[in-house]
Amino acid sequence: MTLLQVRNLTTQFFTDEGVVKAVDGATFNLDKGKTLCIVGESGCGKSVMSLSLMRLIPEPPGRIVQGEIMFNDVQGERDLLKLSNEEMRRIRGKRIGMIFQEPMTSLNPVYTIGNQIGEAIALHEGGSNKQVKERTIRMLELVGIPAPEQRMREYPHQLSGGMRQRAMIAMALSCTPDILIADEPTTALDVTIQAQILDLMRELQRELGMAIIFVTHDLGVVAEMADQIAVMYAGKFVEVGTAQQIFNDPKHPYTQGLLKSIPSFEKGTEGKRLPTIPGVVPSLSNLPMGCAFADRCEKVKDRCRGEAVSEDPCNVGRLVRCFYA
Amino acid sequence: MVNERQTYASMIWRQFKKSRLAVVSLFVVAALVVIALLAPFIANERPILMRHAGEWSMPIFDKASLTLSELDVIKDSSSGDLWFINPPIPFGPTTYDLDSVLSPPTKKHLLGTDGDGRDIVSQLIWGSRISLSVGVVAIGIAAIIGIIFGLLAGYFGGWADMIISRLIEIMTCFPTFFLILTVLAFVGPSIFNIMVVIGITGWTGIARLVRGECLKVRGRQFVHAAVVSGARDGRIMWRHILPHALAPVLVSVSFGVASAILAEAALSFLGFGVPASTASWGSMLSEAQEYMDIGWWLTLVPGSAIFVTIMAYNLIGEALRDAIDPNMKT
Amino acid sequence: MSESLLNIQNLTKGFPIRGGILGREVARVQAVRGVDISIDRGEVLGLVGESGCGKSTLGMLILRLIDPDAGKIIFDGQDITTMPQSKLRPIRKSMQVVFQDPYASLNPRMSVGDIIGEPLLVHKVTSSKERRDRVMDLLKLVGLNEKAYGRYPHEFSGGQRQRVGIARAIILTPKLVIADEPVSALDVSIRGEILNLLEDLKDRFSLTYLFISHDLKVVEHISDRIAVMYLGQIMEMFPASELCEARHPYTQALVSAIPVPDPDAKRERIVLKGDVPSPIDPPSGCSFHPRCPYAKDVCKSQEPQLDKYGDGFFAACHFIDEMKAHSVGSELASK
Ligand SMILES: Nc1ncnc2c1ncn2[C@@H]1O[C@H](COP(=O)(O)OP(=O)(O)OP(=O)(O)O)[C@@H](O)[C@H]1O
Ligand SMILES: Nc1ncnc2c1ncn2[C@@H]1O[C@H](COP(=O)(O)OP(=O)(O)OP(=O)(O)O)[C@@H](O)[C@H]1O
Ligand SMILES: [Mg+2]
Ligand SMILES: [Mg+2]
Repeated sequence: MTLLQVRNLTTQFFTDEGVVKAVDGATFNLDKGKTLCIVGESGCGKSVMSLSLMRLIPEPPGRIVQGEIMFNDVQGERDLLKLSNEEMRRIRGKRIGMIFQEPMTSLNPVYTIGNQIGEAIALHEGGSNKQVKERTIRMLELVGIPAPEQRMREYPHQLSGGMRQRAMIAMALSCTPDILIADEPTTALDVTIQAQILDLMRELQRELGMAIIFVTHDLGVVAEMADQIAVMYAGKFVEVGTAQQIFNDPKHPYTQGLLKSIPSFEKGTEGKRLPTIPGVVPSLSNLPMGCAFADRCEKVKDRCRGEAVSEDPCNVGRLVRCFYA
Repeated sequence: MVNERQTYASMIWRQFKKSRLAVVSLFVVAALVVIALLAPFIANERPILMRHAGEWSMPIFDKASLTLSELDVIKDSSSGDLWFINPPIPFGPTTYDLDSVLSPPTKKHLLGTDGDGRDIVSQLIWGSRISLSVGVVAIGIAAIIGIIFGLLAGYFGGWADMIISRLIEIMTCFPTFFLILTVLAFVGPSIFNIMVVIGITGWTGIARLVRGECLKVRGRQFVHAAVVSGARDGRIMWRHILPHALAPVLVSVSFGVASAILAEAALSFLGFGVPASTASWGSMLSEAQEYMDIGWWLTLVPGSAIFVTIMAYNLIGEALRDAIDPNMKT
Repeated sequence: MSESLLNIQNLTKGFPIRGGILGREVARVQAVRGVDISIDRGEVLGLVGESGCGKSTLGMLILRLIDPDAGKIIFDGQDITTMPQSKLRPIRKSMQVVFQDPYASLNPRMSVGDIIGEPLLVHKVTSSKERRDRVMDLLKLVGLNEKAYGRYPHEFSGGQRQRVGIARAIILTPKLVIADEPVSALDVSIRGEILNLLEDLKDRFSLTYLFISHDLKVVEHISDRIAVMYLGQIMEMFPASELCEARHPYTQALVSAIPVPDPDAKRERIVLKGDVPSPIDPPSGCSFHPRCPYAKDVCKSQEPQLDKYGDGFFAACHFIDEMKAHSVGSELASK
């Protein structure tokens, strides 16, 4: 079942330097129980994308200028962008949960974690104090925090990074949302802790059947988590496909470059030069008319610079924004 | 290159410009500086340029030459060879026009005269020199002391920090104004003493600021990089740390200038300031007391001048502070 | 002159945590606990470990940016452990650093030319004209445009800034460069370029690197030898090319935790239980024992020493001889 249908979502920031086209015409579907990974370099618009879905873009300077976000649950299909603020508030947290990039800044340092999770539960589910407390403990148990009765009385700074991130996940999951948006939930963590968290998320997904939008720039993490992958470059999706399609048969030159530039453990690659993508990402407030990747692309031809690229000019059968895929 | 070329200073200026009031204030301050510098040419009892008996002279720089009123007398009697240019305000700050004592604003005396027949506009213009120099010199002294102490405390920490921080605490506990009064009672009131005393009592704010900035920057990696490259402490403080503290110091300086001007006015008002023969805004106010009920212009004019100047410096300081707000960019 | 360029013995550093109104020391973060390492001339030693395990502290100790509590640092045949800063200054020429954060490591108020040229100025090596020429040469060498000379750091992207940082580090042609996570803050597509640049410069100026990172893949790519650090101690050391032969349970867990960019890879993972313990109160015995799947009683009470267990292999583990090289490693290598 398709839970979320995003069409042509466009978010811009109106700044002194000009209009920043942070998300430009994003289109995708998200199915129940599946994971969509959004990958891309720093500043390409991943966080703005996830905030737009939650309608949390700071306004001004930002604004969602067009598009629709069709959300389909038991109550039927509706466009999140057309809901009133009050209706949207009820969807946030309850139907769509979110985990932020930096766990320390998104937990309130003056309340215990038990307080914060309990508040989310009380707000959306209600129930007596005792019920809320029991549920809080169950959530903390679920995300693998040992001795939850004690831990829930602690403040965020008393927890380690991994614990905090788990508390964030517990908070996001406390109302069993249909969709979980996770914005680089493991980037600030160590590999061994990251492995724990990824395991946990997959397990919870299996158990609760929720859909996940997972934002990251680590292709390794993507390979572990994704069913669908959207590769983002300078505010636009440049390639969308299943995990197998993207990793085994990448079509867009940017995707190909990204995959090649990760060092691997393969024997005989030590000391060899790494393949690279030359050049830098263009500024989002001053994008070229044609393909934004043109200046860094090996296959670039005149057409790439002169003409806007449609979603699938080569008829690959999925979104591949390249004339010469 | 990601951004277009833009230095830190130009970034601050761009933010600063957004505040209309601050830009106006900047013009006010600039105008005051120009007026203070050109005071002898604007308001003087002697001609700017004179030709007499075939010789050119600039009487404004010659205290022995004839004043305008004296020239008026000989003008008719002497031969045709007398020519001179009047300053726009043909009165010095100590020209006693005995024909119009306590005159309200008239065509001749645009803002009236005081009880001794001195022209108010002229006094105002000359008084701005005192205000300006007190502001600049006193805060200059304060800034130098503050920067040095702040750097030493913040960079070396330990004992240096201990001593300087305690000193700052002690200094801030004293009621500065009364400290100044006491000191002046010993060393005697003069404009120089006032500047020095305001300077050496006013450095604590800047020192604290520089110290804080220093602590913030000292742990940054580029400072480590400088240490690793073998740079000496002096160089690190001067090249790597001070430039970061400069913008906030500038903010503090513009507030400081305002309070120094106010302090000078208050001191002069109380009679501890410049000698009575020198015109200053504070002494004008002080003298106006006697004629409170009949000479409204006597208090209104210097009072407004002080008000406008202090407002201008404070507005500039505030706009600067907003412009360097670290939340916006570093 | 000894064979190794840098030799550190039993290096130890703790940071006091002060509390209470009197600012008394209430506890101590034991950041580096008795580390022995030696680096040969022309070698790249990779240092990996999780966040907070003391990698940067070790780097700062070697650079004498902080003073050790105990131990010895012998650089280029000289004991610099307690050398006063004034005597250290000439030695600093041959010991440089590249930092992790390309935004924090360049003074935003100085132009790129001044930043790169500063070491020359400080050591009064050249006239100002020569200095300019040297900086220009170096700009070209690290792949920056000559126009960069008069520009300020904020006008550059992260990768370009890191090039500036590298240029500053090598302008005095040092012997040892400590690279503290030089690519961790960069995007994947730029990482490769910087790693390639570091390798080119190493060959060209015969540099020696201590390459610090938390990313085992990056370390494996660039290093000759790898040291694995955990809670302020070295757990294992081995030749980089033999990563899959490394047997310490922590190294194996690290290897298996790395996500592999292949959706079809089915692998057996070792997911460690629990968190990294606090360096304020490190566990008794082997510091890894609370998370180690093979821990026995002796691990809780007795601290293992870093012992040789093969040609070029060293590990601090009581049961290293019973450990097998994990299947994950060999599986990765066979792919
Ligand atoms: N409040 C804002 N005002 C102006 N521009 C903004 C604002 N928030 C984001 N942007 C711009 O939008 C673009 C996308 O930012 P975003 O945070 O989505 O990047 P990201 O892909 O999440 O990067 P990262 O991997 O670093 O988190 C950036 O160029 C950023 O400068
Ligand atoms: N100046 C300091 N004062 C107190 N504690 C410190 C200080 N510097 C580092 N520490 C502590 O020492 C430990 C080791 O820190 P260090 O920065 O060396 O870790 P690291 O391995 O470099 O981690 P990362 O990968 O996050 O850079 C940490 O627990 C840290 O909190
Ligand atoms: Mg982001
Ligand atoms: Mg570090």
